[in-house]
Amino acid sequence: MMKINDLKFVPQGTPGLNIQAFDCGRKSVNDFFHDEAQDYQDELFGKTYYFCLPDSPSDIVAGFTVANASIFTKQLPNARQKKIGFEVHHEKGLINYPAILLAQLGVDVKYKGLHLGPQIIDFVMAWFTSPDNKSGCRHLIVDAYDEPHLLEFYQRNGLHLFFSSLEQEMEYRNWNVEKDGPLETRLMFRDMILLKRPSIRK
Amino acid sequence: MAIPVTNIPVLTGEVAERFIEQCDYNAKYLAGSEWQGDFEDIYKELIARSPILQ
Repeated sequence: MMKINDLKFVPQGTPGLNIQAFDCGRKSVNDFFHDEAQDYQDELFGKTYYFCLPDSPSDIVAGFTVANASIFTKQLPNARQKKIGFEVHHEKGLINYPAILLAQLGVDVKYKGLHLGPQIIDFVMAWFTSPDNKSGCRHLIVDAYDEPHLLEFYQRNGLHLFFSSLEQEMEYRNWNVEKDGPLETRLMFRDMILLKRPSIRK
Repeated sequence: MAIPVTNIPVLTGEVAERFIEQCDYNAKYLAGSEWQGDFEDIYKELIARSPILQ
């Protein structure tokens, strides 16, 4: 097992990073880090961070991208109205839950099997639930590739599927197979209120 | 340059009901139940050594 706190944590744009050598074994994720992460960041869509070897900081061990997101809910007019949390009332059945989208996550193939993925997820959740976080963030969202080992990986790390079936997800995402091709990802979430520092509020 | 961003669909109907009820339950009864101080220590240590604060 490799511990992420033995690594160096740096943002996209750090001089000397050898991003082109990064290979997580999945072309679409590699392409994002190699070619798109900087544009994504420049246009303020999200930010990318890397874990590097402390003795060789140009060597990227793992990378991830985070972006702000929201989970909008809309209840039918006859749905039971209730208080949300302690004091936040929702009106007209509309609630917006602030979230962080883990838009990309990749571990270089040289470091697979060292339990880094779960530690990175824990790190992201600790980061976005810490008292230092400047805005509210209730959920972690992942749009995971619809592959059993990946869905199981995220489920082992506390994430749940939003939708009970692929068909239901396609309906909600307004997915047209003929036009869009097969839906290759499944949306998952974790309620990070479970992980926040225990409140003194009673 | 347009970059695709994952869109989270609006949750409605039974999916919204279930989601909201679980959030409500978690906030009332489970908040902080999985908090682990060592996660926070690791995060703080990494951030403190990182150039992101410089």
